[in-house]
Amino acid sequence: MSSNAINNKVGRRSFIKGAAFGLGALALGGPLLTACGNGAAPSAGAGSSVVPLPAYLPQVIAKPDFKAPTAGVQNAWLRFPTDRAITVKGVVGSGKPVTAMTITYAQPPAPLEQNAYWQFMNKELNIDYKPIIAAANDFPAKFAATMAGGDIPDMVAIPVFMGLPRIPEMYKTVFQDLSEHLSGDAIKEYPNLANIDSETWKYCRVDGKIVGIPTARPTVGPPLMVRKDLFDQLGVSYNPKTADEFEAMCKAVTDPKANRYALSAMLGDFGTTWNTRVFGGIFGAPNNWKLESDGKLVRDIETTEFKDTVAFMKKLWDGGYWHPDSANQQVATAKALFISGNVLTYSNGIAAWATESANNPKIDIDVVYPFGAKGGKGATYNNRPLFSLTAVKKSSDKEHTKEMLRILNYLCAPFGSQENFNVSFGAEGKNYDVVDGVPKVNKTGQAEMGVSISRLGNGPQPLFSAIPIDKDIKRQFDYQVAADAVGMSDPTMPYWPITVTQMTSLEKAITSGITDVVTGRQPLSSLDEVAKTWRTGGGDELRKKYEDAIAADK
Amino acid sequence: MSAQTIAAKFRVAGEARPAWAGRPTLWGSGFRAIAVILLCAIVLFPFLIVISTSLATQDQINANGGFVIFPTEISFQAYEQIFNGGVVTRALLVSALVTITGTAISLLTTVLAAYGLSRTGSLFQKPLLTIVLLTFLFAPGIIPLYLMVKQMGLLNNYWALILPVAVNAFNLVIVRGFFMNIPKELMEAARIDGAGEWRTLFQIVAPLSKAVIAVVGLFYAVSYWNAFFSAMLYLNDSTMWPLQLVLRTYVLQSTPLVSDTLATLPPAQSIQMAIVVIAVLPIVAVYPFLQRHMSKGVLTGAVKG
Repeated sequence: MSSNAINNKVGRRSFIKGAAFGLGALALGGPLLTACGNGAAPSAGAGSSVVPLPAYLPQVIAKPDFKAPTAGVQNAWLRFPTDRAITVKGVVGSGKPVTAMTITYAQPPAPLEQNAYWQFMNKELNIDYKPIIAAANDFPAKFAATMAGGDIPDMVAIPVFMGLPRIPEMYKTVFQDLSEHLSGDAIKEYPNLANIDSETWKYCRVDGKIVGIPTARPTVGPPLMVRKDLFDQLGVSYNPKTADEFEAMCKAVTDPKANRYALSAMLGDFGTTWNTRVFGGIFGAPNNWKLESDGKLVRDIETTEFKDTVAFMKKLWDGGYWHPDSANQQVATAKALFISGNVLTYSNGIAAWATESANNPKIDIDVVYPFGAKGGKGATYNNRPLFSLTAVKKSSDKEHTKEMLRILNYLCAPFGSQENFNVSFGAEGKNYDVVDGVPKVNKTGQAEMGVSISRLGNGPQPLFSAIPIDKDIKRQFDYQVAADAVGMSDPTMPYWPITVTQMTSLEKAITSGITDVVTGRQPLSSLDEVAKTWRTGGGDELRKKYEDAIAADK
Repeated sequence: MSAQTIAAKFRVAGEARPAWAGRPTLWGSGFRAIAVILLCAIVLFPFLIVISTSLATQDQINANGGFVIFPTEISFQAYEQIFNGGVVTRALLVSALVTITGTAISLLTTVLAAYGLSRTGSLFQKPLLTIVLLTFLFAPGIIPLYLMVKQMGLLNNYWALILPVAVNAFNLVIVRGFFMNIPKELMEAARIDGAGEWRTLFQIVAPLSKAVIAVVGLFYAVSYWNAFFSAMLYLNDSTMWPLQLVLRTYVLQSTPLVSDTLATLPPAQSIQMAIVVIAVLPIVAVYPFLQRHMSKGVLTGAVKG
């Protein structure tokens, strides 16, 4: 042993003793530290005073090719209207830098100096736009760090589906109350914001105050898309009327030797999603929650319909119809397998249908219409009418707040307007080309739009594709009409700011429990244990908060 | 090779074996060779698939269910796409610069700190060593680290990827342990000859510590090269993102890297695999040169005396 080691008085024994002491302090002190941040989330329903919702002043700039029969269906256009109305008059911004934090599903954009779209939007809005973008998987950490750091961007687009904690507190401390600017007739100063319907604005009210601008989205839930070309080639119908017919359909198209499978699951925000939002509708399981007549809420995992749903998914797994990698399939891979024809179905948001059809003209995409497990209409799960809520940084400078609202008013311009065209297509010759009179976003445009400025605010979304796909647009419109007729909503959706500390882990435990049953690691009866663990782990607390909020709104 | 030559080789191998090992037989050596070849094949197979898929066309990928083992037709479109778009090229440069600069700074600071903490009687040696060892027990957490980086004015600055992680306690302890095993008589001899501490470190200790410095350098380099989370947290400007963050964004979200110079878009899987090849290539290129130091260095501290 070296003399240096002998002389070193911080030896192994004393270090281990110190480590044991430190770990003990951590074990005892941990819960105390956790308690510091574990306050109850305030209700997102009505507070002491509830401001009126903004007035709804609809504008339809261009006549749609397919007019929506109900509010839950999107108006559809096959081409961008040639006569584009100007809906924003005057200068929007003040020429100063504007920082904004958004989620992104695109690649990082080229720098400003090489980004024609970014320069074009800066000129249109008269701002120096400085985006802070974070990929979906990283957004919670980035958001938490940015808020904790105190350097709040001018605008933050907060996704409403992520269960981010402490949102109501943030709206009181760091974000501006927009009620005086938007409530009632005040919104008339921003006509494009007034074009957003009242149902959507309900989601923008926290503790009775209007706290942000929505990025509107269609409410039709995720469809089960199919490769029509391959189904036709195989001579198999993709419109079953019962669960048994669906199973037979899967069996008919699955051929492991040809590396072809009927279904693929994929990793979602909380774990593997086994197209539960499609199968749940088939078996009549609640869309997350069901509100009973006595005002009580029942979670889907507490119902027999949900167990039937999982049992069916397991039956499909046992039949070998799910792709073998389903339990850990990335969305990217599931999509790639669908496009390559190795998996014949794919389920994602309704907007993904148009995107994949436009990006992959060689394949033909259709959809499985809703049906009931034992026949009948079945149900589809409605989504929230917005993707995110853009909050404005708290400021005593009213002009600054108004400037931000003018920017958002521009971005929410309705389909058919010049402003909407600018945001969707960018600079002519650089981001889009006119081919046979039809503007088409080119590949540079798609890349440069990674700036994601359009994620700050959207008006009512049209059913439209910048790359013309007439047949697919008609198909989607017809599907939306059918799906909306049997749409089932989640009664807790408007109360999205309500969370519990363990929100993410609670959801992950449920999806993990489903995966265990589907893949055969656990029996179906284990769902009872999953439900019990969910209840005692925070589910009952969450239920109580939602019930109180719903009751307060009545 | 003649039977006599083979036998001679076995004899030499047999004579070179440790005293406790029996004489190798033809069968034994044969089985060992087969086992090693199989293990190598298992390890190399994923690399083969990655490279092959990156060079495959869409038709081959479709025909093979998403991954290709032996492409019959080679296409470099995925690589053209990647380097043409500008996003990955820029990210690659950022990663390279951060790795080289960060590794140099980390090695320098780690060696200096380890030397100081290994010298008996250094000022505040015991308290400083205790503080370093405490970092094994407690991680600061995302928010405190972010606040510290922000207060240092390093947000949106490449130094945020280097300075907060410049010295790793584990590496420091490894290097310190190695320095402590260097005979004290060497230092005393240097001191008698008039060498100060700096000269002793750089002209006596460092040359004797090449193995451990190479190993720790490789640890640091791989850590900097693979870092994406700190870039996501501290770099608000996405044009400053390093390669791993761009790769993660693309692979997890499958967003196409588009370029208007290519008539058709290369298949998504081949672009993903091409990005993986580019991300892994520098490490694979550098490692063989450090491998001989690794085998000596990883045992540092494992054997005392």
